[in-house]
Order: sequence, then structure tokens, then C-alpha cells
Amino acid sequence: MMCVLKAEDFGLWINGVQILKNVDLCIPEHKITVFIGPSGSGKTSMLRSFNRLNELYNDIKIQGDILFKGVSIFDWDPQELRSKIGMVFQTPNPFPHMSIYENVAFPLKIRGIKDKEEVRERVRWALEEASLWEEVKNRLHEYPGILSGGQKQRLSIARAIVTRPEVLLLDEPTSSIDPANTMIIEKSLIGLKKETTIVLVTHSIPQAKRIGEYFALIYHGKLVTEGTYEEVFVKEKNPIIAMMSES
Amino acid sequence: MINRRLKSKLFFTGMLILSIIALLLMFSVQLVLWLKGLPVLLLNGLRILYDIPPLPSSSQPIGGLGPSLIGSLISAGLAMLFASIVSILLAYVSVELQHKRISSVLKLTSTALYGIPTITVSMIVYSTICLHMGRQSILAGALALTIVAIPMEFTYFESIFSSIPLTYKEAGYSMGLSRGQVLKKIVLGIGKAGVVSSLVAVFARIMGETAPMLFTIGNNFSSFAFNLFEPSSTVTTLIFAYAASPYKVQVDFAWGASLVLYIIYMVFSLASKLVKEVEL
Amino acid sequence: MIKRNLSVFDFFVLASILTIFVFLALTGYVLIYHSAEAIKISGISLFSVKWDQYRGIYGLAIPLLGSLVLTMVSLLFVAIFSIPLAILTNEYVRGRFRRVMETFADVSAGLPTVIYAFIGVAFLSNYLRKFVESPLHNFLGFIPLFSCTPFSGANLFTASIVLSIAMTPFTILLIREAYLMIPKIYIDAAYSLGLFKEEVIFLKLSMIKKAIISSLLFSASRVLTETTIVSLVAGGQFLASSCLLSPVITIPALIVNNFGYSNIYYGIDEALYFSALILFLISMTLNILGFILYSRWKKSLVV
Repeated sequence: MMCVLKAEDFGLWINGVQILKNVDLCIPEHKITVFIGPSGSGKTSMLRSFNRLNELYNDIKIQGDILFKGVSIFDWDPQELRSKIGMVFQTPNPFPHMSIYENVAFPLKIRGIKDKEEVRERVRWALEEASLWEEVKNRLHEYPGILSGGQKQRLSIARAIVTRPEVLLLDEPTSSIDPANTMIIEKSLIGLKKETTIVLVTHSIPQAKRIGEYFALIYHGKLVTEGTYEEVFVKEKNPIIAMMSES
Repeated sequence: MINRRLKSKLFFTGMLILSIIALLLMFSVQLVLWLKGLPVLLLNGLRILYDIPPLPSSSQPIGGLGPSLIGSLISAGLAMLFASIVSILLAYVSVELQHKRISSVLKLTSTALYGIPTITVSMIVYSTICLHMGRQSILAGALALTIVAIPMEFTYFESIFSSIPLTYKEAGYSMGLSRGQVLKKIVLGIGKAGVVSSLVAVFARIMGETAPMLFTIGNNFSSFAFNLFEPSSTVTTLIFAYAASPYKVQVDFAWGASLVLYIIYMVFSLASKLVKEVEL
Repeated sequence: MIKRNLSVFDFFVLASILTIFVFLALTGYVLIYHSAEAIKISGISLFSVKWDQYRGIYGLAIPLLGSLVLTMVSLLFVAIFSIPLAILTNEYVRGRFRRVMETFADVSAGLPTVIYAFIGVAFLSNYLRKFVESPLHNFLGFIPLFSCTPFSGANLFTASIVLSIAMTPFTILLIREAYLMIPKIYIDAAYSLGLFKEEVIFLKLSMIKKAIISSLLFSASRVLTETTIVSLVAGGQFLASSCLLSPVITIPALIVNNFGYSNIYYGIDEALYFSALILFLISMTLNILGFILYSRWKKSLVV
């Protein structure tokens, strides 16, 4: 099993407080890995460590390392790294000052891809993969303000995948989305794993069970257990999972 | 009860009278400006914008603000160029690093700069630039205006940038944009209405500044200067100089100049209010 | 420990930060250096009441006094004009008319002061002298405040009226801001107790007392450093009197009239830098006091 991202004895302190402790974790290629655990356990911080988003607004201290394709992420140029890893946030955030089309085309634009035909094709591909194309194909030049929350989130997904990143990170992408849209998004993610590796943070065990193939239970900043569905849910019967499943 | 009612009525009446006096004074000032300035404008027509001022020996205030208007526009324009770049960058840094000390240091420095009396700004620029160059110049005037404009713009931009939700900036970073790109494409993209409106408003204000120009730009009212190292004048310094003039024709002309300045200021200020914000 | 390579953007940012630090430091340096020179050259005579450039005596006491007195009298008028108008626009005017007044105040607040100065000297001073000041002198001349004859309209009284007209819109904006921050629950409570509208207004005023004073302090700082109005309208004579109708000179006016002649009158520029330093310190103090007062008031608003 190839680990596209690998945390090695990773420890993280944010503004002096230790958030993650001794995490050894492998994110397998082309699978959907789900981080589960109660709120505040460090799942999001782990996710944001992968694309070095943590260091933007905080004082952080690192122990250990994270490897992306075998090379330490701290040896990568942050911009390079982030351009190969896509991220979808908890609150949908398509840029309000760009049209729907421009939002998805933007990552291509900043990489210097100028050929109009190519851009158009890739935008369409991304919107189709995100299951949004049919709903916006006649409104591409309108602004995201006209879209519903669920549609905005699918737009954010389209924007994140248009450059075909190697990894797609999603931080509780459906926690503020209605059930119908949640289903659509989950279906898209399953379709996307052949293109990219997906890492998803969720606090919903049912969601984890629905789409996850590899699981990492993070509790109080520590990786408590990791593995496949059988290993984590069937064999181990971890009490934390039981507690979370009930809520 | 009656006592209270009476007191309330008296309070209201007193307030109304004082308000009316205040309004009358404020309106009369602007009314007189139109009454005395409009004839001068009508007498001159458009030449007031490109001609040179009337000679003291003239019988009629026929002439123009040309050289001073050019001086005003060039010095204000240059100042806006420098000040805007500096202020946008500083405001961005101040908001991005708002939990670090640099942010409060920047805000403090901006407040300190804002508190420098504009006449003092004039003295400082005079003693550093003008004395070394040996003359007054448009450049010195522009520099003085830059010092005045930076704190104004910094305050506006800081409040605009800090009201842009973090999530949009993070989305930009997560795509691999650098700090400069996030500023350019995301922050300025979303905040563009506020930024443009602030720029126009500050431009209007610094065009109306007199004290910073008094020792720096010179007293050249009658010849056009386009070279930055030459002395010129501004509409404000012209009004200031002519106001105290013993020649009636210059005082009359100053009414016209004042109205022109008033109109320019009003147009820009009102324009700055007509902006359509980006819907978040 | 996490390295970032410096980029072109970083360079511009650093250059900008350096720029404003340099401006500020330069200002401080020039002011302090020349003030020190002034003390060396003129010594104690800087504080005398005489100004004699031929003998190198540059007494700043009278302009300083003039600045302070003019500021105080102007602030009185500013308070009298701005508080009622602020209340009027907030409480008694509705809809489109209110928006017009607000825009008018907003835009007038930044109107170039030289326009006020010119109208003051070319128009207002004559009318004020004829219709207000002479009558005040003729009928109330026994009061020291009005005991001097207003020969021209260029005196302390006129200057403070013009200054207050110029500063009122700005002050109204500040007061209005504070007014709007009063939590609605207090207003609801007041009305529910059966208070008249004017009584509620009075209550609101007492709740924003500190904010009003801080607004006046900020305006005072602006009045103190105002140059064009005082130069043209205040008279500029080296007098100090208790009479409101006499001409007065302030530090900015002094600087405008006398700066730049160091090659003729030795030490004059240095003395003026010293006066500018004093002006700067006083205006800074007013701003800081205003800010502290405003912050304290804001904290007290927390429901």
C-alpha cells in the first residue's frame, strides 16, 4: 500500500498548546481515508498540517515529520505543496467576486493555463465530477450568491479538483449541508477517488461508514487506531467509537 | 406632570433654536459661496480651468486657475500613488498578522503620523527636501501630502480588509497562492468597492489641504509647471494668498477659485459614496 | 524553524514599513533637534511675552495662550452647535431628509478649511462685526469680555465662530456614532417607564457623556492645529487680552507668518520649530485623552 502522505512521529503545538502527539499515520493512495473522533480531538489540525495551512496564522512548533510522496513537506515550497493538494472547507467559500465559471477556472488561470478551449473543458469536467454541471451549465456567468449552500459546497469542490490534485482534503464538508446535498457530495467523492486520494474529516460515524475505506481515529491529539473497516469497527470495538456512534 | 411636560417642551425648543442657528450659519456659508463665486465662474466660463490668474491691475477677475489646478492635481495624484501602495500593503500586513505585535505597532505609528499638525508636516518637508534642493517644488508638496494621506488610507483599508471573512483568504492559500497573490486577487477583489471609495474620498480631502503645501510647493500662480522639481502652487494656496490680497480683483477671483475647489471636492466626495459592494 | 523564502512582495512590505517609520522618526528628529537649538540660542526668552525679531526675542507665551483660549472658546461654540444638531438628526428627522442631512454632514466634515477661512475673512467677519460684535460691545461693554472695540471683524470671536462652523459637521458625526451605539434595551426600558421623548434624549445624552467629551477632545485637537482659518480671520496681532472681540494670534498663524526667515532673523526658525513641538505635544495629548475616554466609554457599554 503506497502512502501518498505519511506522518512520522508527528507532534504539533499551536500557540504553545500541544494539539497532536506522536502521530504515525499512512494515507493510502486512491482511497478515501476518514479521520474520525470527537470535536476538538485534533482531526482538523492534522488535516491542515498536511497542506501547511496551520503555519499561516499561528505560532507553531513541530516534532517529527510528514512526507508527501516521500519528501518532507517542510522541504517543499509551501505554494508548490498546496498547489498539489486541494482543500474543501467546512463553510462553502466560493469567491463572491468571481462568477461560477471564473471560480472554477481560477486555479487554472494562476497556473498560466491560457488556452480557452482547454480551460472550458476542464471547468466542465470539474463541475461534472462535483455533480454540479447540470444545475449551473446555463448560469456559468452568474455569481455564487444565487446558489444554495449545498450547491456552493459542490462549487468549492469543483474549484478544488479542477487542477487534478494528488490529494483532496475535506474538513467536515457536509456538516452544514442538508441531507440531500450531502448524499450528492458523498457520491461525487466516491467517484473521485480514482482521480485522487481523499482525506475526509467528519464527526459523523454513519458518514464515515458510508464512504470510508480507511479510518483513523484521533482522540485527544493521539492516533488511537487506524485501519480498514474490519480492523476498526468490527474487530477492535473501541469504546470511543461506541460513544460517538450513539450521539 | 405639567412641570415635566413644560421642561420637555423647553428643552425641545432650546435645542431647535440652537440647531437652526447652527444650520443657518452652515448653510449661509455655502450659500454665500455660490452667490459670490458663481458670477466669477460665469464670467470666465471654462477658461477658469486653464488660464492664468488675472493681474492685480486688471479691472475684472478674468483669468484662470490653470497653473494651480495642475499643481493640485499632480501633487495630489503623486501622493495618492505612493500613499496607496504603502497603505494597502501595511493594512494587509496589519490584518494578516493581527495577533502579533507588528499589527499594533503599525496602528500606533499610523495614529502618530495622523496626529502631526499639517503645518508641521510642511515644516519638516521644507527643512529636509526644500532646503537641500534649494527650492520649493511639486515633489516636496507631493511628499507632504503623502505623509498626510497614509494614515487616512491605512485606517480605511484596515477596516475593509479585516471585514473580509477568513475563509476566502484560506481558500486562496490552500490553492497555493502566495501572500501577494491572495492580497491582489482575493482581498482586493472582494474589497474593491470599499477600496475605490476610500481612494476617491482621500483624494478629495488631500486636494483640499492647504497647510502642508504652504512651505513646500511654492507660490507660482502664473506659470505652468509640469516638472516635478519646479515650484508651482495649488488651488488652496492660491485662495489663501489672494484672500489677504489688497487688490480687489484678486479677492474677487478668489471667490471663483473657492467655488471651483468646492465643486471639485463635492463631486469627488459624493462620488465616493456611490459604490456597489460585493455581496458576501 | 519553518523557513520561508523572502519574495518580492516581502520586499515591498518591508519597504513600506520602513517608510512610515522613517517619516515618523524624521519628524521627531527635526522637531527635537531644532527645538534644542532654539533653547540654546534663545534660552528663557522663548517663554516671554515679547516678540521682537530684530533683537532675537521670540516669546511664545502669547501665541500659546492665544491657541489655548481660541480652542476653548471654539469648543464652546462647537458643543453648542453640534449637540443639538446631532440630536435633531437622530431623533426628530426621518427618512430621506435624514439621509440628506447625514450625507451633508459627512461631506462637509472634510470640506477644505481654506474655503471657510476665505468666506470668513471676505464675508462673515464684516457681518458678524456689524450685527453681532458691535452690538455686543455697545450694549454689554461693561463686561470685560466685550470691553474692547471690534475695529475689524478679524478677532477671536469671529475666528471661533468660523472654526466652529468648520468643525461642527465632524463633531456631529462622532456624536452620532456614539448615539447609535446605545443598546436598544435601555431605550426600550426608558420609554416603557413613561418618559417623554425629551427626557429619554436627556437620558441618552447622559449615557454618552464620555463619548461626547471625547468627540470634543478630538475636535479640540483639530482646532488647535488649524492653520488657514486662524491666519486669515483671527487678526494675528501680538496681543493677549481678556476681551473676546480683540485680535488674537495662535501658534499655526505665527508659523505661517514668520517661518523661513532664518537667514534674516537669526534663530527665528528654531523658535518656530519649538512652538511646533509644543503644539504637537498638546494635540497628541488631546488625541490620547480622547481615545482613552472613548475606549473606557465603549467598555462601559457592554450589556
